[in-house]
Amino acid sequence: MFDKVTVLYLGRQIYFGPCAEAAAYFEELGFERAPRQTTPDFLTSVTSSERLVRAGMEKAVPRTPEEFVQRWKSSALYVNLMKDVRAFDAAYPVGGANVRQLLDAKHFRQTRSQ
Amino acid sequence: MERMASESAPESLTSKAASRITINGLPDVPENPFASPVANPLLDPHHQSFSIRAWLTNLTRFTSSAETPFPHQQFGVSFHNLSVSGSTTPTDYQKTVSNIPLALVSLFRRIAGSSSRKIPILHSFDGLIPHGELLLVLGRPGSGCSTLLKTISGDIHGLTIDDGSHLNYQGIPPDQMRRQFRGEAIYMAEHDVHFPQLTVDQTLSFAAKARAPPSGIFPGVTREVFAERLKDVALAAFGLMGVKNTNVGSEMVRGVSGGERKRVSIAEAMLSGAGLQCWDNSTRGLDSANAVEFCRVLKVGAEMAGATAVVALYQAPQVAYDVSPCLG
Repeated sequence: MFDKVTVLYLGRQIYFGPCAEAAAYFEELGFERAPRQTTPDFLTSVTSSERLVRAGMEKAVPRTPEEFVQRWKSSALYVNLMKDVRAFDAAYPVGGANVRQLLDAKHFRQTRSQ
Repeated sequence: MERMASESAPESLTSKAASRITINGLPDVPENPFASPVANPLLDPHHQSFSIRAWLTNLTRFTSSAETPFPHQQFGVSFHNLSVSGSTTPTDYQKTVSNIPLALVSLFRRIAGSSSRKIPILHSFDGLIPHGELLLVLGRPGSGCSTLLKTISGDIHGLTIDDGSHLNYQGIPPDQMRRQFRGEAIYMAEHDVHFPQLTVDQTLSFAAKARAPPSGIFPGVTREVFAERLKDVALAAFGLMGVKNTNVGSEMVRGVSGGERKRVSIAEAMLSGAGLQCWDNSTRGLDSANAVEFCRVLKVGAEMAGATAVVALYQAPQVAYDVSPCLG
């Protein structure tokens, strides 16, 4: 039902992207999903001591928020996100033509008299 | 509830989304959603077969087929390198008569320039939520979920957005957003605050009237009729028809149940029709069926009106997360 999900870890953003790819991203980092665990629970569990690490990945998985951020900012998903952000900012430049349109829409809805 | 023909998120709006929905019993020519009496039972909130999806579809079709189409008010938001900190003073008092002098001392200290302590809360966030999309915010309590929601909705009392942060509300800078579009971005806190002595009906009537457009936007419909009908639709959509004459209540005042009170809050926010909605753990106190229903209503709002929602959930049901065509 949601389009995107973001995962926060002590004030750090460690994922922002499509829901469908979130679980795979963390599994790739070396985390393992507990049986019957829901996806949202799995995503939050990597930020706590509940996390399960796949055998053989104990040394490779990030643990502190900083390590998570480092992995996130060097991921392909992050590069894509930044590309999308730049495209959005180019389509709707701050103070651009869209401001006029939104102000008009606001005045259209505002009650002028009782 | 009728099913959606497609589950993919619409890049844009209304007419496109509406045309993809097939609803049995809706005529091709949309009827004025606020006219009375209501011809079609699907669109009558007092009728048993009322369907909120049909009603919204009809509304969307009607507004987009009007001679002068209604201007859209949609807010996507992008942020880049967003850092937020809270400030605190070493001592903070709940002010009473006896400690006012103490508070005065700290006020002078602040004026004199002794800086208050800054505590970083969010570190360099990046993200993009185009209009009509839903973002789920996950994190353990204390990880900054509420702060992120408050920042996006502009409810930043006690917070400072650090220099170098970049926020863009579809072309509108954050300070203008807070000044001129205050009602368009709303933050829904976890706790419900209502006037306990008002009935559900009165509460929602007030919410509907507060944001009703001027008379005549819908042909032959005055503000009062508009607000009245919209309130009925909200009552029916959230299953509150049966308790409409009950007090909302609070911890101390007898009233509707906790789940119903939560639904009153949700209905109230929906009536505001804000383009950017931030919901902080709003499913607290709801059972999982109602939690899923809440997500579904947000989804309908996003698809029909291009509303954008940011939702923090501490216990998200799997069904709410899954993108499943049969749930749309």
